[in-house]
Amino acid sequence: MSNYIKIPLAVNPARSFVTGALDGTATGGGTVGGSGASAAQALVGGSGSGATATVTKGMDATIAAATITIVGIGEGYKVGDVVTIAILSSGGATTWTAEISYTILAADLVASSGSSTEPFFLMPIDNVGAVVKGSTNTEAIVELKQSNATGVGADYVAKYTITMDDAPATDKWALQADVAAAVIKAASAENAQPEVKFTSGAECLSVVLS
Amino acid sequence: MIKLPIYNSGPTDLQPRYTCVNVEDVYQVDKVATAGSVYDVIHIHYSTPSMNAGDFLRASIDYTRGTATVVTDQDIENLKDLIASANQNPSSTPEFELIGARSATASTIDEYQVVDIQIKSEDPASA
Repeated sequence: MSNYIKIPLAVNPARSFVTGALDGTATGGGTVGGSGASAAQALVGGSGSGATATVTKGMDATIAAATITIVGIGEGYKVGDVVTIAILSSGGATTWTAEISYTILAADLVASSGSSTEPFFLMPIDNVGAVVKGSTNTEAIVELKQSNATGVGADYVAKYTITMDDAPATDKWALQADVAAAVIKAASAENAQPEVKFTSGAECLSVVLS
Repeated sequence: MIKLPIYNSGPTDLQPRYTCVNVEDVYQVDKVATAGSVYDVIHIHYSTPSMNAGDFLRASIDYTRGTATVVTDQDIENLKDLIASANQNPSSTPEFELIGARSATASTIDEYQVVDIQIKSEDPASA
């Protein structure tokens, strides 16, 4: 019989942007002029704060043809949030004559694999080797007692990488202990499928086997 | 499965939280020095083969916090006994604690708590 732990996956958690061009198409903006990337402008609205982006004029004078590139990732944004960028009429690079509006898509934000139909990641524990702390405060590793490639060292062992959002904040030792507590409970109770309870209400974005 | 206290994990050093390591298919346990004769790492060798022909998996349990030996020969014997016991009682998850922790003070107990664990593929002949 295989035993599992349940790792709760946050559903559309508030999180940061990823740097790079936005995936969707913005609206508004009036007439886009000039050329080259504008100075970084604040993204206003939505559930988050702190994000900034540059705007670069495209083939025509519409904002749809321009490229909006995230340079400051901010924190606390959700898919579906509408953010705006105020008018910029000077600066020597791309300018626009009306407020720009953009609806955030999943691809614009840090990846999150949870959904209403997939609220948990079920991790089998039968071949867990050890629960290991990650290299950052947003990561925990479950190393398996199973080799995954030819070679000598820690890189040649199969592992689950559990990636957490950076807010609410936690730390790598607490994450290690949170996951280990569920594994220990599952190992001690054959028919249990304990859920990982993350310290500080930390939110899990994804679990990846590699 | 056995559990081990993790350094820097609990509200205080005297109330550590735990990680766990698999102890099935263990054929050898030994202590390792990270510098000179300072023994602060335990190796648990599994009979589980890796993808390299002739290589097997090993867990390294790292207590490296300073320059003092914390893992003794008696710790290794105690761990072997605990591994045997854990395998006799499959639903148990006993705790392994270094002997030095029993006489440690509140300010030195963290030297006997696990800093890191890693599973690695290794050639037993060169380990």
